[in-house]
Amino acid sequence: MKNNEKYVSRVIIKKTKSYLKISYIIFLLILISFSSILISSLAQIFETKKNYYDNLNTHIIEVSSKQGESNQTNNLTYKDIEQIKNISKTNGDYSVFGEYTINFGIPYDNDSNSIFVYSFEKEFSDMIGLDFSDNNILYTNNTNIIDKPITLKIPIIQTDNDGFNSNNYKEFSLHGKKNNVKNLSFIKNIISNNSSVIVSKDKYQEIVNIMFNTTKEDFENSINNYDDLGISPIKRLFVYSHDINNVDYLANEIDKIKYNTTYAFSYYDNIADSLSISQIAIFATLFLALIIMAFNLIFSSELYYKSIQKDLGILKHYGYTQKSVFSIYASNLKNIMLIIYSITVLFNIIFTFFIARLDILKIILVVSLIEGLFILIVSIIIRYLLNKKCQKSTLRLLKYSKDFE
Amino acid sequence: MIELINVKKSFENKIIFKNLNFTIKAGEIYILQGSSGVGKTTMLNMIYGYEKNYTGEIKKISDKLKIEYLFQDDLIFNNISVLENMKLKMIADTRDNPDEEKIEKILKQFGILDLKDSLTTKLSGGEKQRLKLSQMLLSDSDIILMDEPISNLDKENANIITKLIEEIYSEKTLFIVTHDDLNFNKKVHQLYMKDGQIYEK
Ligand SMILES: Nc1ncnc2c1ncn2[C@@H]1O[C@H](COP(=O)(O)OP(=O)(O)OP(=O)(O)O)[C@@H](O)[C@H]1O
Ligand SMILES: [Mg+2]
Repeated sequence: MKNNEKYVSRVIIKKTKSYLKISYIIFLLILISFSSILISSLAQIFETKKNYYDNLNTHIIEVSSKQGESNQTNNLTYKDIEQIKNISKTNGDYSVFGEYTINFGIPYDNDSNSIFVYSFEKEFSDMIGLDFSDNNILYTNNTNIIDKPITLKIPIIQTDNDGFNSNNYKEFSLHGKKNNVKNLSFIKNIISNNSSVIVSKDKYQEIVNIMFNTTKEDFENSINNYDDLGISPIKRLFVYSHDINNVDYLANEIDKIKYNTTYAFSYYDNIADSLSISQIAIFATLFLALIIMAFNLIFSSELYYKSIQKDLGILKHYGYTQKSVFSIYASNLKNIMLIIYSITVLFNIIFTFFIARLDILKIILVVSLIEGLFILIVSIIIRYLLNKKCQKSTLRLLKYSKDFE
Repeated sequence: MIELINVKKSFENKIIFKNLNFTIKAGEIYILQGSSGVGKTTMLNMIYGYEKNYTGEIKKISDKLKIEYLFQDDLIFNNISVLENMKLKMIADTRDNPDEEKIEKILKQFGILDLKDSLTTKLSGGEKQRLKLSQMLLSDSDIILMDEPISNLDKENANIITKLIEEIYSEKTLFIVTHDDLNFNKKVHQLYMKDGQIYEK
């Protein structure tokens, strides 16, 4: 637009009606309120989504037992690991890990108390954050043994005609350390129990070897032969799916071959749950308010343009072309809308930085884009109304300005 | 300069002109009188191009013929100053930055330079009329059409404005429509309109 037309715009904007100004201000306020609810909802959704994706719980299918022929539940064996590993190679990568235990308590120190020993494969331990770079560590939440040396009294078991019996024991030294693993639902039972401890797989093997007077090789051979040592060492299996979207499918496949599984609830339920009903209600209300305010603004603008028809006529009579008259008023509209949009975007940026921790740029962009589009549509409608007024003949604008049609 | 040939014009079923013929010659001054509703303003609207719905022909000497039209109603912006009103009109005419010197010279001619920063809402009827007449001088027009330039003014003001028009516009072609008697010293065409025809007195 030419400089002179800008001058004309500036001179004429003095005449903007107060009801129109109020409409613009309310429109801005509602827009900002809408921003705040949209930003906080998006922040929450993104956070839930990220937590969900990051959360180990959601990647893991827990296999607790196998159903036998006549629907009795059977303990798991080494064979089951291989069987589950062979289910499906086509549907993404997954790994199968065992949870190893000794199914009776082991006394320690001079206490009459005993502890239950658990162990996982090294890869799984790493995954859940148990560091066994020092092999002597024993993870526990029992305050009596945290940060202390602990001596297990491992029973040496002989088999005779009456079954197991043990009169001797061997001392075995480990070092207690606090178990800092949190929020993992599938090992909560271990973490929350004061008498449960976790040791490295190597130490677990050593303990078993001592108990049954076997060698390391024996143990490994036993595993290779799928021959458990008579102590049902595998309590549960954990199937880790690398791709979260395969969890459902994989769990189904495992169910099919008669294993009992549990896993985290479905992904989409989770996202929907992250927004509360009241939040959705506020969102809907503000959205409605925004629409109503947009209509109010459009209606007020129409009223305003009707009231200034004589001014439009005078400008045309002075010799301004229809296009000039249009752009003189449209530029005022554009400036006001730009100011409103700038304030809104500024608010979006500040508010997002305050409230969101993740995807800050994405949230600002999405919200600002939606609102920009909305403002654009409202502007286009108002411009259309203005243009219709400008198209009227000068005589009509001058003569019939007073009657409000 | 401008020729109306066999012009017919009616509003709905009311016939204003059955067959109007008239010629405006360059450098002349025409004063057209006639009773209310006879069609004086309608004729100006047709000449200026605001009223297009007629039959017959209105011939102009050139497509570039520059006409100024002093409208019957007050066509000035309220709530802005005299100077700003002048600037708005000048920008429309010249499409250029307004020449403030020229504006002030014209305002001085019409005796309202002191009022250049006053809001137009505060002007008297006579002062408004002077402003409107000042605007007519901003462009180099070939002919000026004036619709009731001195109506709604008291005798004294009417005489002053009449004198100003005669002095300042003496070089131009003028076509003035009026109820009232305009006493020009110069020789003018005194016309009256009746039954859709124009007669010379
Ligand atoms: N747009 C219109 N639609 C219908 N009738 C109209 C229109 N414009 C003017 N008229 C009628 O045409 C007639 C001539 O109007 P015009 O304004 O030309 O009169 P005039 O001679 O200028 O009167 P005055 O001296 O009162 O200004 C009037 O009767 C008027 O009511
Ligand atoms: Mg008239």
